[in-house]
Amino acid sequence: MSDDVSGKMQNNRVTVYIDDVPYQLSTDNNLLAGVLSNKLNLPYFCWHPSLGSVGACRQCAVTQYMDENDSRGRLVMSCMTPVVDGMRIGLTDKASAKFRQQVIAAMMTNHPHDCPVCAEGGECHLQDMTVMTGHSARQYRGEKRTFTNQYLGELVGHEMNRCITCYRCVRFYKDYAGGKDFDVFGSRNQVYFGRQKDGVLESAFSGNLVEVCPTGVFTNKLFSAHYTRKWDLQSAPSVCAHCSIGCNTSIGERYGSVRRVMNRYNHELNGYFLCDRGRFGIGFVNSMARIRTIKGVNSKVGEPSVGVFNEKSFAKAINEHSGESFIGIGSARASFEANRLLKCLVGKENFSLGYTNLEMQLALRHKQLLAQYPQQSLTGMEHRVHQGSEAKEHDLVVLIGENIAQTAPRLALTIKQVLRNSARDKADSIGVKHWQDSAVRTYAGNTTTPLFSLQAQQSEFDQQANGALILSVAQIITCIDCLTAMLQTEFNSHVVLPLKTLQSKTVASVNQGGSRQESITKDLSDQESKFTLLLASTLSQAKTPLIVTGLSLKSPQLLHAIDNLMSCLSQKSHGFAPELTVVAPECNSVGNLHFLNEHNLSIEQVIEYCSASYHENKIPRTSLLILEQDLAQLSAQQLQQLRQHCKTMIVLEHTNNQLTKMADIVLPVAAVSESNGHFVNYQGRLQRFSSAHIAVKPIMENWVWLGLLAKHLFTQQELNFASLTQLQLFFAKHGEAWALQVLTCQQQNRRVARQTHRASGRTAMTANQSVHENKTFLENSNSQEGLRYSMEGDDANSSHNMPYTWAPAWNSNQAIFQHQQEVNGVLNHQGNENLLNLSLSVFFDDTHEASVEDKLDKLWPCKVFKRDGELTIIQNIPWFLAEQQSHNLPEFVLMFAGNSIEISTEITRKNGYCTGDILKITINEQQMFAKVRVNKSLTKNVVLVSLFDLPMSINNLNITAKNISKATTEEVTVFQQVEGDRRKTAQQEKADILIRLKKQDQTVPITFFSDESKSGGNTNG
Amino acid sequence: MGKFSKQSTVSAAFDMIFSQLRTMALVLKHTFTKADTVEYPEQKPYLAPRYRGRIVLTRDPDGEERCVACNLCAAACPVDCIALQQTVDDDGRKRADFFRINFSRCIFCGFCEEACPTYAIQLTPDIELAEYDRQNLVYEKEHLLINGVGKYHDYSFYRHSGIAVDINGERKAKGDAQQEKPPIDIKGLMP
Repeated sequence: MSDDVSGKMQNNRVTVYIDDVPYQLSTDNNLLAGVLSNKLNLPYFCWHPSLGSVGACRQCAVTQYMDENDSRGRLVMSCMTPVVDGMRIGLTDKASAKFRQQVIAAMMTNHPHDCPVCAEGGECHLQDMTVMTGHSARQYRGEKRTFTNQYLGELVGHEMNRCITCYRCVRFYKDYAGGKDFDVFGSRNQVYFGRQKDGVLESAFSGNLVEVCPTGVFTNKLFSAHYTRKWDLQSAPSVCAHCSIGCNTSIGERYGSVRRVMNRYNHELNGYFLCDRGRFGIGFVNSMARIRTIKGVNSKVGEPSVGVFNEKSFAKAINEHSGESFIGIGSARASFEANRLLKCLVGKENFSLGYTNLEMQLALRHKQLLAQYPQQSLTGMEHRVHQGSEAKEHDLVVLIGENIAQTAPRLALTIKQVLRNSARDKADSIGVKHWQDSAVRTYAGNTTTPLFSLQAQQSEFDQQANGALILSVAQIITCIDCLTAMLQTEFNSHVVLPLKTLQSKTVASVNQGGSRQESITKDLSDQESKFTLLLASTLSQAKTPLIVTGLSLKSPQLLHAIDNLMSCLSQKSHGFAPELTVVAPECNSVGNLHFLNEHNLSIEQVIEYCSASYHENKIPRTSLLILEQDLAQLSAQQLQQLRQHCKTMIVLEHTNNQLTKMADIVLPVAAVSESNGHFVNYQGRLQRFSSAHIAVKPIMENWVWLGLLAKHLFTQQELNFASLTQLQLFFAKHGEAWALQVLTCQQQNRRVARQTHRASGRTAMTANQSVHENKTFLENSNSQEGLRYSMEGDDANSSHNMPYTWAPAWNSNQAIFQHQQEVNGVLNHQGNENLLNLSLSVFFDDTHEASVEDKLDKLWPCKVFKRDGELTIIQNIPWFLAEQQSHNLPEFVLMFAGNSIEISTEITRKNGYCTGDILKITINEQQMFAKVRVNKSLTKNVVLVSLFDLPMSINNLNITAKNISKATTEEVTVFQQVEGDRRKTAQQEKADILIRLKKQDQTVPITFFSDESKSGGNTNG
Repeated sequence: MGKFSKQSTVSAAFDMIFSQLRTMALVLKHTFTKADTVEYPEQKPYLAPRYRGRIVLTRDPDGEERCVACNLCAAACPVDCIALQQTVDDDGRKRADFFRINFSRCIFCGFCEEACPTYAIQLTPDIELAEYDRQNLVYEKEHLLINGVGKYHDYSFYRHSGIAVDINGERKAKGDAQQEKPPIDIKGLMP
């Protein structure tokens, strides 16, 4: 995708003379973007590469000359000026330089004297621009304007005095991200950016305000609480582990603890923005629930001494279990390499991905879809740079059965931009360029690309949608089947009907009866058939519809229906290019699809296997080796069975969960910030994440633990690798394509420094422990990985995996343009796309014997009872808790409004519930309480729940009406207490974490690394 | 090493004797003049107030810590011998949670003092930093913080900055700092 975009850009280049030097600028963007693309320094504030221009700040003024004889010229705002062939402009001339300096001087009249206490200091765009213009002394002697601040929630801080009224925040929050609770108030020099009144920012993208704001009005509260300057952060290029989109992040560490996550530009995926789950969710690595010691291995090893790991005694202890036969359970949270190694360790017939029968069916359907329909990147969907004839914009978006705002917020942000395609086109038709943000919005404000939403719960897209229905999963599937059937008839007749004809025809047919259309829609209610008809006619006219679906409803039938729909759409004649996007449940779910085939064990089969060996007293007894898996979807009974019937349960995990409580041995695993590996995102893109710092022993990376187990438990010495590269080499030698891909991508002679060249405190930070400096930044442990724990090494920007974003004179993240081939383009050293090859086995050949459906059911039978009066539980948990790791961030817990359940009016009437009642819900034998909210738009048999303790992996579950009942008075008291306690515990934990981190600052664990060769043994090669 | 003539031998002998006598005279003279040598440590030399010696952290005129832990001193330090961590206290002030100077590395260049935006870190005319154990040259915040304003008597950073903090137990709200207008009423209707 990137190639043809940039390829097209080449054609639109013209020559522009900047200070009499000819430069090649693209006519697709404005003059400012062109100047910056040529890596020239021109100050700006209100322009943003992704938000476009509004011309509010007057900072990017340049002089434009009529011709080479014109010596006076005139001032123009470069961000509002289109690029014209042969134009002559001046950057360094006195008039414009003086003007730019005066603009800063005016902003500085009210800017407070805050820099030393401002969290933005050192990466402040305003500081950079002030230095760049040369304004050095404040001449204005008057008083400064002040504002009071607002409380904007636990995540974002507000310091309104610092505002320079560039309008970027409101343009991002309201215009770009569609937030409704943030705006601009007041007039003249009293303009105020904030909420109507104090309160938590509702948008899932509020954290981007921190990066979008050119100064310190919005700050990252979690970072500020335990603050360090950007120049002191040791950063590493990482990949977000909180959903399947795989946004690129940069994790910053100081004194041995993770401080923050910043956006790392990736042209194909996240661009300039992250969601708040990714930005703030990283806090889980510092949580009190982290496992920091070995549990269950004999006391010599298990003693909670930090920084020490004795391999000999570990080997001795673990050797006791060597006679057992192990089943390995992998996970979609663990890296690709770790899963591969585990599979290799236990053998493919003993490997499970921790999926239930249903999930196995689902995953295989998912694999089938991915193999057939290549997934677009986010940029591919959006076509931010969208000129030229080849790349087509999406002219229709259909969201089916996946609340992307909940499961993949960053994708939702992209979809919001896709919906603006038609507005841009409309503006383009009168000659208004796409980057003229304000003009486009004024002219084509409400024009949106058609959107249809077919969901099991309400979503933020419903209001924008041309058609939105909330249905049960079964109804959704019926609707899609009808839709497919309709389109099939439509396409077969080879006539594309205009919307009105189709409608009138079907209305007629419904009236007359006996027609084909009616027979198709006979299963549907009036509302549904209307929706389906409208969607069918829109779909048949659309050229490049985008269909977005996902796995969160846990319905293989839904994926099958979508498969049918897609194959029907793909039949349509040339020039029609339907695109499908499937949102995977976790960060490495698609990576696991690589291992997935019909021989894998489902978790039910694992339980059976264990029980069988238990009852038959088989020797060797079956034991479990569980890798970063919580098996949250299992019922209490199943878990109990699993626990009782397996001999030994070894769990590799980074955070406490239900399995670590019942395990015999728990080995502390490094979380994403401390480990290396690859995640495979929803597209199948293999993305490398690197450690920001070394974990404190006995916490070790998952592949290191597996290597140790290979050596001491499985006596497979060859699987104990000294480095991740050796692991990859091993698999490459065995002919695995992914390993070769990964290795070619990694090939670089350069060794990039994780620290900035300005990093401070090297000779003092461990001096309290010993004044004699250790060889702290031991290199050999990571010698092949291309990044160093040091300030020595190559520049951060010498590969596309930049640990942090910086360029001379550009200290903020705005520096990214210096490393892009052109503004909004790919990064300078961008390698090839590294897509995982997901090939299908003969299993999916439909012509072979039975149909895939029957085969799946035979292999992994999952009983779906459908009885009357049955209710379907649909997850409605807010986006920040819709992923298990982020549950451990106290700030997110504090944002949670409390357990709630939404039920339809019908059930309410039948059972006499009303809004505000407390109900008792029994799911998987677990009792939970929630407050009722009556939702009129729900269908009768759907129940939306937002329960703190219900994991996201339980969704679309059928329960009977008996499972929901009114809580007794005592239970109500218990409920209220639990809710209050949760808040209190979260508050307490927030304070405890800070205390722990401050204590850790004093005992910087870096000193322990020097003992690595003695104690670890395995990581030294 | 040529041959000495008789005469030159005589004059050389004379010179030698004269030199000896002169030296003895000078020594005798100095016996009665005042010695330049200072009897250190009994007697301390004069060091100007701006002499670059032991580093201290000072307090503002209200007796509050001046250091806001902005990290500029650490960044300016050419030998990286300053390490600190910022913390925000309940009174709104930012302080150093820990502040450490490794004097065994310090070269007393004074860059930290130059970089300090709040006059917190100052070099003093104290040069007596010898230790038998190098570890004792690591100074923590409690060793560095003094109860005084040092060389700059009047400056209080928080009276100038725009953020709300407590000064002397009273809240300095928005608009209360020097050269600040009262906060704007954003709901006001006046143009």
